[in-house]
Amino acid sequence: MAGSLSLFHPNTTRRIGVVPVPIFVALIAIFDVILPTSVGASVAFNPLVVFATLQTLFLFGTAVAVAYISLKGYLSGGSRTILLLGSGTLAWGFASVVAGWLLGPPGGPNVAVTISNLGALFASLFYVASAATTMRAGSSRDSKWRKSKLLLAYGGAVGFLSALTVFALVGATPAFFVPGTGSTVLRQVVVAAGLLLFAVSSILFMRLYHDSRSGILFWYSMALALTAIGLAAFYFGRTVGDPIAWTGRIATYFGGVYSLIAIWSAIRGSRDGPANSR
Amino acid sequence: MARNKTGILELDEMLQGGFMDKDAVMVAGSAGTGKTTLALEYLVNGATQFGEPGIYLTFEQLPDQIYRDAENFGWDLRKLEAEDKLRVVCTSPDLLLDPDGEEQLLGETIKELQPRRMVIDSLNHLEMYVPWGDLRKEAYRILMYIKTRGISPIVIWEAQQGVDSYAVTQAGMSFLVDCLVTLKFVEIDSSMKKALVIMKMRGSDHDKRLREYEITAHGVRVAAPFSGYEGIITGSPRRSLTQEVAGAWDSAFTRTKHKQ
Repeated sequence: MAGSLSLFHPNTTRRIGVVPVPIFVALIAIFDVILPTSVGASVAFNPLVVFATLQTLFLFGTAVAVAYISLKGYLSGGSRTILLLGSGTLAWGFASVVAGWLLGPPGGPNVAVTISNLGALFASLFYVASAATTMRAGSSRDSKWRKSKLLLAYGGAVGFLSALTVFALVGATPAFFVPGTGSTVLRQVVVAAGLLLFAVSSILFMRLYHDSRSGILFWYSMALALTAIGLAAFYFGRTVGDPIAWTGRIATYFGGVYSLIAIWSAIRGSRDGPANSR
Repeated sequence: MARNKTGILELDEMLQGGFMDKDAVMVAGSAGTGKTTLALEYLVNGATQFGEPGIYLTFEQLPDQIYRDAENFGWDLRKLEAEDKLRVVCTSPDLLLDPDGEEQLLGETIKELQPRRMVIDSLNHLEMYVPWGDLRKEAYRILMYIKTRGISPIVIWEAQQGVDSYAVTQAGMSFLVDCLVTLKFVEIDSSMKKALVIMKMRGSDHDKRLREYEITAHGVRVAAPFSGYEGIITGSPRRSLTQEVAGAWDSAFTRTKHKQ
């Protein structure tokens, strides 16, 4: 039934799905050219509640959905790929929502940026490890202690980011963003590493997609690609909330939506057979 | 409240300690589900672990068959009979249905053995001798005879496995008993498994979940509840939507070299 609701052939849908990638890249490039190297706070647009709500809906909400499906998949199948993927998604979603709500007091731009960027790097490590397991010839499945490993991975991801949040709030982390000055070198390095790992993960999953033609893989690797573009925008951004930052934020929100489309592909596949998850 | 432990650890947990004392229990299921094994284990455990002698009244097997089958599970019924802990009574249902038939058939044994447990295998055999409309009346009379003598009976009912429920409820037999345990075959992932559920237990809370069980070399062993499946009671369960989606998710990320 779900299949009959599709208006377009999957290949057409996927071609459309690729379109935002060059658009976001072009927008970032254009803004990078037209915006002066140093812009004032007046250029920034940071409606705190709107931003926090967007982060919650598009990044945290979607991450919870992916983490939940991954949790169920890991408990029944024991795939380490799924465990690492779920942990990375949970880390990214958690960091995003905390950063969203701490952009204002008692946090501030530095606290939000620190949590968001370190969370992205932390999550990207899970993603790249997850993608790397798919490159191995043998099966990477756990037969024992699944619940314990799941608790360790998910709990560890959330626990680490909670501790990071506390450290950032009390000023025990190095500066990532200095109002009036801009990003620190540390932030540039962390963001660069994060976006590189997100991009590598996306490419590795896309390689798997070319073997299987699974819609789930297509949309999820595109979600990771859009997140990498979002991080690239933070890299080029002049200040928190400038047009480049918003382009990046919207790219990451698209990434959240794409991960939901990946789940929808899984729902279609489960209801109508594997052909519809393609 | 006194309980009669079955001696099957997980089943006793499901029953909050065991069957209620002197409750009539029905074990229903289709052929091959292990009804007789479960009932015999209840008797053997009663005799060996809880000091409660028992009677096994059967209409369908000859004694040698019963002794042989029990030996396969490590239960020496002859020895238990020699120790006055058990009696195996093989008879025809019509003898039990005679006026005062139960007294003539069981009265002496009950006096001698002072049993606390009894198994009737099976009530279906009465169908051959009494009209359908009288079946419940006869079953009620026999159960009352047993219960009023301080014995906790288990009656076996062979029910055809239907699509949506058991014939035991359709036949109107379930209201005669205080506790109804049903055994069922279910097909999961192309293999046949067995499911046990306590469908009712008057006057006591109990585990309502469907639990998988196996007939092992040592008798019945109840395992974990079935989880992540819907429609187990139909005999053809399917995984819940969440499990299906999780399965599709899992196979997408782990599938390799499966080009269309």
